[in-house]
Amino acid sequence: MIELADIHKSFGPLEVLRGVSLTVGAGEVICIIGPSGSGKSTLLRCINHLEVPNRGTIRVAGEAVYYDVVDGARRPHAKRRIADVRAKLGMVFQSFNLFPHLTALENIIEAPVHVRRMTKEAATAKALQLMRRVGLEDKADYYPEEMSGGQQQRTAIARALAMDPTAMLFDEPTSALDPELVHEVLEVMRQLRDDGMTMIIVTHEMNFARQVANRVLFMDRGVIVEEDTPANLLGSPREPRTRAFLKNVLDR
Amino acid sequence: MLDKIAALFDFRGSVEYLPDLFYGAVVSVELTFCVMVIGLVAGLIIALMRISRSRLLRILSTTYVECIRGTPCLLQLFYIYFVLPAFGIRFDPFMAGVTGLAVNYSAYLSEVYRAGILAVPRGQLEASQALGMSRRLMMRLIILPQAIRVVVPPLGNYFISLFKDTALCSVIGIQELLFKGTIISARTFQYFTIYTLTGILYFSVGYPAALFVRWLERISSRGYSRRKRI
Repeated sequence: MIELADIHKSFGPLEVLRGVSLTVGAGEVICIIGPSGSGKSTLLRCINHLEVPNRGTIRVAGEAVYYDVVDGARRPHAKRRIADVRAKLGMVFQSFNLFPHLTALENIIEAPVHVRRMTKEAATAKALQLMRRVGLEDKADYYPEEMSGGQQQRTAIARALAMDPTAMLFDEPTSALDPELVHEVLEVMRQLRDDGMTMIIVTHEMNFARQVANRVLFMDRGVIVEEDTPANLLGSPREPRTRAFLKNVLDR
Repeated sequence: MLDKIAALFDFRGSVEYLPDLFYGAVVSVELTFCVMVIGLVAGLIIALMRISRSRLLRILSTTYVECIRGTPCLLQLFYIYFVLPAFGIRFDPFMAGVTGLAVNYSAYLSEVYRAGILAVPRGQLEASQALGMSRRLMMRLIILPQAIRVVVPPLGNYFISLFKDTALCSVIGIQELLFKGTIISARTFQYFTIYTLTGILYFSVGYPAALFVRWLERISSRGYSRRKRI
């Protein structure tokens, strides 16, 4: 479904990703954990073209996306083609990034109406169905700042789902939430897993990763240090770096 | 001495000039609206050029803005009214005034727009792009609607200062309020009363406008929320 090969990314002299390869199958749920600055968010952002890797290729559904590499030179795809791929990869941000000047419902129908050219009626019907699915059927005409963080994040998930994504990317979706609101967002993500959605999740929620992920990746200093089933990686990590990180996180 | 000063405060002799002054004030207001409409549109276009990805558009717009901001408005008016005719471009005074002030204000207004656009958080751009929006769509649906709200109060303030700056046009012979005041007071030697009336007329437009802008500021600092339904 999604294949990353040898992704490198530097910001100036700082090498954030140093050759990351990853294959995610359809319906698979991958959790990426690791200390801050390990490159896990950057990796996720590369998949959605919010960052452009310096080297390496990304394939979605078997096709090279965003650019082709011909004889070592990179040829970017047409903007339209890039936008189409991005729309198919739902992205959920740590800080929600809902559009503050639009109601919850308008947030959700904005892209289907203007990017996919759906009729407003069809998009609204679909949006209301999605809002029911994330438990916000009564919040359609609320503005983002009138909602709690958990409600905002669930709206953001519905907004991404409205584009019928083939995979969902979550960048620390619960890190900005009050602790008592975390579970409502995780519950929605759990449902998505049950519906067979392909998901890549950057998270600090170890229990969630344990329960939901098919595979957990531990990243540190721009590489994948270790990847395994959640039981193995979180229960009996092989690498000393993984062990040290988990010890710090789990001892809190 | 005292009776001389008292005589200064006798406005009875100048009331007959009020209609003429009032007509000048109307011209000032007309100038203001013409310039503002052009300035608001041109300013937005220049602002979009300044943040464009095209290097050429950026260089052109930045040069324009810096040249205009670096020279006096009065000189720009002289240039358009007295210099351009040498190149066969001739304006009547009113058109020259509108053009000159519009050139000047579009540069300043573009900076206001630009600041407003840059004030929209980066996450908004990223969310739009992640949803597959083109740059154009993102500007129209997400960035500009949020930026407009930020820029309305400063634009309002420019509107007021523009009204006062129309007085500059008196030097190229537009019969606006200050021009009228100058002509009448020179003819009648009633400098004190005529210029005072002129000031009162400016103030009676400018002050309500300032109050209006203050109200706009209050509105735009409110959050986005549902209006209270009764």
